[in-house]
Amino acid sequence: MRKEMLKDILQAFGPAGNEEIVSGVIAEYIRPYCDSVYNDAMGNLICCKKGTSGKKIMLSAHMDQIGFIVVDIDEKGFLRIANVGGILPALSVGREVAFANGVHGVIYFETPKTRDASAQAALPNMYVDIGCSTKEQAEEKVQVGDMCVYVTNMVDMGNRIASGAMDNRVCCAVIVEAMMALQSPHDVYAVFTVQEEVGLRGAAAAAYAIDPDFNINLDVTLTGDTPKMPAMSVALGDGPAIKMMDSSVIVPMSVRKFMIECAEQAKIPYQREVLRAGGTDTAVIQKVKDGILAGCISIPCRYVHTPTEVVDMADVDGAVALICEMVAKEQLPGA
Amino acid sequence: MNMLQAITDLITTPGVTGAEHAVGEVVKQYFSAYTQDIWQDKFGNVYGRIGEAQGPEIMVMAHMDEIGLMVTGIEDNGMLRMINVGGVDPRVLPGSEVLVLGEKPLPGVIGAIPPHLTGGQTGNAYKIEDLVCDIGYDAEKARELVHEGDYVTFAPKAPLQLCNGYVSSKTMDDRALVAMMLECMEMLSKRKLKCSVVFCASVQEERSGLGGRIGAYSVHPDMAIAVDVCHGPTPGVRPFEAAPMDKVVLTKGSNIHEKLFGMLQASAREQNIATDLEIAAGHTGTDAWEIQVQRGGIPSAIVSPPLRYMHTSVETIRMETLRNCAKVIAGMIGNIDENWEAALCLDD
Amino acid sequence: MLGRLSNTMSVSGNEKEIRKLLKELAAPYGEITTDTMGNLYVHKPGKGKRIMACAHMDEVGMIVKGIMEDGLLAYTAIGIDSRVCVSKRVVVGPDKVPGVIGAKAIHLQRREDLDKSIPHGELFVDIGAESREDALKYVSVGDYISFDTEFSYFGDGRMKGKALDDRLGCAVVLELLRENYDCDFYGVFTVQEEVGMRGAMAAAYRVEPDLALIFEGTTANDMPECEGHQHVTKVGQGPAISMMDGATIVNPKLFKAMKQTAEEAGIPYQVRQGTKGGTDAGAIHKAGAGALAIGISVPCRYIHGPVSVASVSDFENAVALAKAFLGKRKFDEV
Repeated sequence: MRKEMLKDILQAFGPAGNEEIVSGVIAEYIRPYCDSVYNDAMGNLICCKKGTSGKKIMLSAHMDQIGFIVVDIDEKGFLRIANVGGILPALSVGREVAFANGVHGVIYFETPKTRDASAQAALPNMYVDIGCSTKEQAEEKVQVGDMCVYVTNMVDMGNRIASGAMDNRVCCAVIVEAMMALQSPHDVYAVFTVQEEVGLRGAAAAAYAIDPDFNINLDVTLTGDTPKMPAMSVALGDGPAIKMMDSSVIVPMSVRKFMIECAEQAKIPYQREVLRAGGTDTAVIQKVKDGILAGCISIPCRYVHTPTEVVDMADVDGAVALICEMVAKEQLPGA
Repeated sequence: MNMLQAITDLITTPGVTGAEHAVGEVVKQYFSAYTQDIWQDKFGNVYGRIGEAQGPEIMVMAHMDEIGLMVTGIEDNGMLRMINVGGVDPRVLPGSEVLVLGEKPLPGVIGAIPPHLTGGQTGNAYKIEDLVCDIGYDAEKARELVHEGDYVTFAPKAPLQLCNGYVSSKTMDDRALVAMMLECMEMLSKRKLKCSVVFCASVQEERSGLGGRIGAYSVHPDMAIAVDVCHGPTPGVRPFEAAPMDKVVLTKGSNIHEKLFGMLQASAREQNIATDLEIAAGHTGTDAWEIQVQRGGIPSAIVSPPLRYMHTSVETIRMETLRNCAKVIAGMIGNIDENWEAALCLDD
Repeated sequence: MLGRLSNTMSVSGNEKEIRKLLKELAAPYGEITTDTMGNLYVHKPGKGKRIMACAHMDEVGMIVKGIMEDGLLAYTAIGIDSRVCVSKRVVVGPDKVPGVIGAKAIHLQRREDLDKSIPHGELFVDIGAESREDALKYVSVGDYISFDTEFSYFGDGRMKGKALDDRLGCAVVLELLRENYDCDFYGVFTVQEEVGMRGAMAAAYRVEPDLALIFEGTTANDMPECEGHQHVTKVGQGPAISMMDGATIVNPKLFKAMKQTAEEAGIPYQVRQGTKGGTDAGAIHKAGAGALAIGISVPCRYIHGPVSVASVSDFENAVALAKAFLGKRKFDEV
C-alpha cells in the first residue's frame, strides 16, 4: 500500500452527503487505470476498467465518513450540531473539527454541573466553537446545513496505522491499489459509494445502474483482540476477513466458498467474520433488481467510529491481493 | 397428496436463512409432480408455474427458510459460541439438541452455566452470548470440523401428532405453508384456469425479506399472495392479538390490496370456510411487505393459519385449517376471469 | 380548497376519498392515472428534465382492531401519540359513524395514575353500541378511524385543522400544476407515507425522476421551553428548506440553489434544522439509479394529532418558492 496515497485519501473531507472532495481525490488517483470515471446523481464515483468476457464485477467501498451538521447558530456564535452517522458523543468532546471551506473549530458541551463528558455529553447539549463571539461573525464562516468532520493525523505506528477516517477510506485505498495492479477478463467497476454511514443509502443506486454479475464490497469490521472486548474471533494482523454474516446481510454460500477458495489457492491468510452488530452496503446491493450475488472483504479495525481507528497493513495488503486473485478468475460464483 | 408426509420431508431437511439449498431440493421434487416449469434463482428461491399463458399471473409465496444459529467462534475447550439467525428466543435454547452443519453434520447440545454456579439465581434469562454448543470434541478436533460461519439447526425430528389433527414440530413456520402450496397446486391442477400461477418457496424471509423482494421483482406478477403463519391463542395473549386455531386468517391494513382481500374473502364465503381478520396498520412481518412495493407496486394479500408457540421447536398447527387455506386460495384463483383488471381497480 | 383537503378522511392504506377529491381538483391540468397502490399521477408532458412534485395524501389515524363484548372498539394507531387521543371525537368507517375516545373519570383514578399516560391499548372508541353484535350493525373490524376536526382560519393569518401534514403539501402541488414549466412535469400524490414511504417507492419506479420536490407539513417546535436549536422550524417564518432528515441528506448544490431562488425572489424562508424524521424524499432519492430530491415544508405545530396549526403566508410562500425554482429553471444549476 502506498502510504502517501492512503494518507491523502484518509484526510480528504467527505462526511455522508458531502462527498465531492474525497470523490475528487480518489478520482485523481484512479483515473489513469480506468476507461471511464464519473459521478452519478447521488454522487457515487463509478470507475470502469473494460474486459472482454462480457461479465461485470463491481468492487465497492463507501467513501463517506461520520461527522456533524450545523443545525443552528446562537447569538454568541456557538454552532449547534447534530450527528451525521454513528457519532460517539463523549469521545467527540474536546476534539478539533474542520469544515469543507477550511474553517476549524473545537467541540465542547454545556457544563452547568460537571465536566464529566461521559456522564453529560449528548448531541443536544454539544456545540462547536469556531472562535467567533457573535452570530453575524460566525455566519460569515459557516452556515446552517454545513458539515464538519474530526481533524486527525494519520498516526504511523509501523505495521499499524491510526486515523479518524479509517472507516472506510482504508478500503477505498485498497480498491485504488487493486485497480492499479489487477488483471481481469471481466469489466471491473470500482465504485466509491456515498451515504453508507447514514443507512446504506448510496450503493444500491450504483448497483442498479451497473447491474453487475458479482459484487465484492469492502468495509471495516470490529475485532475481539483488545482488553475485555466481547468474544469475537477476528483479530488485527491475521489477514483480511471474509464476511459470513452481520446484522444486515448473509453472504450466499456460493460466494463464501468462492472467496475462501481464492484466498487458499493464493495462500493469502484470511479470517472468517461473523459480526454480531453492524451493517454494510453488501446488504442493499444484494437486494437490487432480481438480486445481485455479493460478498464482503472486511479489514479488521479497532476502535471503529472514534478518531483513532487502527488497522494493520498486513490485512490491508492481503485484501489487495485477494481482490486481484478473485477478479482474475474466469468463472465467477453462480447460483 | 399427503400433506403430513410433505411437512415431514420438508421440516426434517435443514434450511436456515441463507442456506436453503437442501430444502430447496425437496421443494423442487414435490413441485415436479405438478409442473415441469420449475426454476431457481441465484439466491435459492424455488419457483413452479402452472396454469395458462394468457391472463394475469398470480404469485403465491411461502418462505422455506427457518430460524437457527451460526457459529461465531470456538473456545479453547472445544465448545462453540453462537449467534442467532432470525428471531430465536435464547430462552428456548438451553437443553436443546441441535445439528451443527460443519465439514459434516455433527450432533450437539446447547448448554449454559448451571444455576448453582450463579448463586441459585434462575430469574434471569440466558442471553445468546451466555450459551455454548457442546459437540463433544476438544478444540483441535472442533476447529478441524467446524468454522466460524457454519450453521446450527434444531435437531430434525418428524412432527408429533396431537389430538384433533393438531400437529407439532420445529419449522412449521413456514414449511407447513410450503406443503399447503403443494395442496393448492394439486387442487388447481384439476381445474381449467384463466391465469397462470407461480408458486414460490422463498429464502431469507426470517431476516431481510430478500427472497420475497427479488422474487416479486423477477416474476413481476399481477397479484401476489404471501402465505405465512399468524399467532394462535396462548394464555396471556391480549385481545385481538391471536386468532382461533380453526379459522383461516386474512390480513387487512396498508400492506394489503383491499380488492384482492375482497376476492379471498369471497372465495372463503363461497366455500363456507370460517375466517378471522388480522389488522396490521403497517409492517406485516411477511414477504408481502417487500412484494407490495416492487416494480411500481404489486397488489398483495396474506393468508394465514394460526400457529401456537411461534419460533420454538414445538410450533403447533391444525391440519384442517391448513387445508382450508389452500381451498381459499385455490378458489380465489379459480374465480379469476377476463375482468381481473377492473376487479382490482381501486377507484369505484 | 385547504379546508376541503384537510377535512377529508384518508388514513394510510385507505386513501380513496382524498384521491377522489384530488382527481377532481387536478383534472383540468394534465393526464391523470392511478397505479395499483393507489398513487395518483398528474402528468404535464414536456421536454428536458423529468421533475416530480410530490406530496403524500395519507394521514395518521387508527384502524378498528376488534370489538369488545360490551360494544367498545379496540384500535391500532398509525403514527399517533396516545396522549392526544383521550377525550376526542372521531369518525369510524366508510359510513362515518361518530364516536368518542373517553377515559376513566378523574374521580375514579388513583393519584399515581394521574402521572402516567394512557396507552392506546387501554383506550377505546365508543360509538354508543350496547354489545358486540350491536356494534357490528354500524362498523366492521378493519374500518379506518379519523379525528373529527373541522378546518378553520383563526388568529392572525393562521389556520388549524387535522392532516395539515400533508394536505398542505397536496395543495402546493395542485397550485404548481396550474402553470407550465420547461420540463417533463409530474405532480404525484402518494399513498402510505406515514407507514414508511411505501407509495413513493412505487411512484419513483414508475416516474424515474431526475429531480423530485417533496412538499410536506413538517414539525414546528417553536414552544416556549425549546431553545433555538430545538425548533426544527418556526411557524410564520417562511417555508422550510430541507438540508437533512432521518432519511435524506440534500445534495449541497441543490440546497444552495433552493436558498438562492428564495433570496433572489425575495421570498422569506428558513432552513429546516432538524435531522430526524423522514419524508418521501428518502424513498425517491435512492430509487433506481438514484435521483436528486429536496423537501420544501410548511411548518406545522402539533402534527400527527387531531389539530395542527400553520401559517397561511408560509403556505403561500412555499408555492411561490417552488414556482420560482421551476419557472426560472433553477434545476439546471444542479
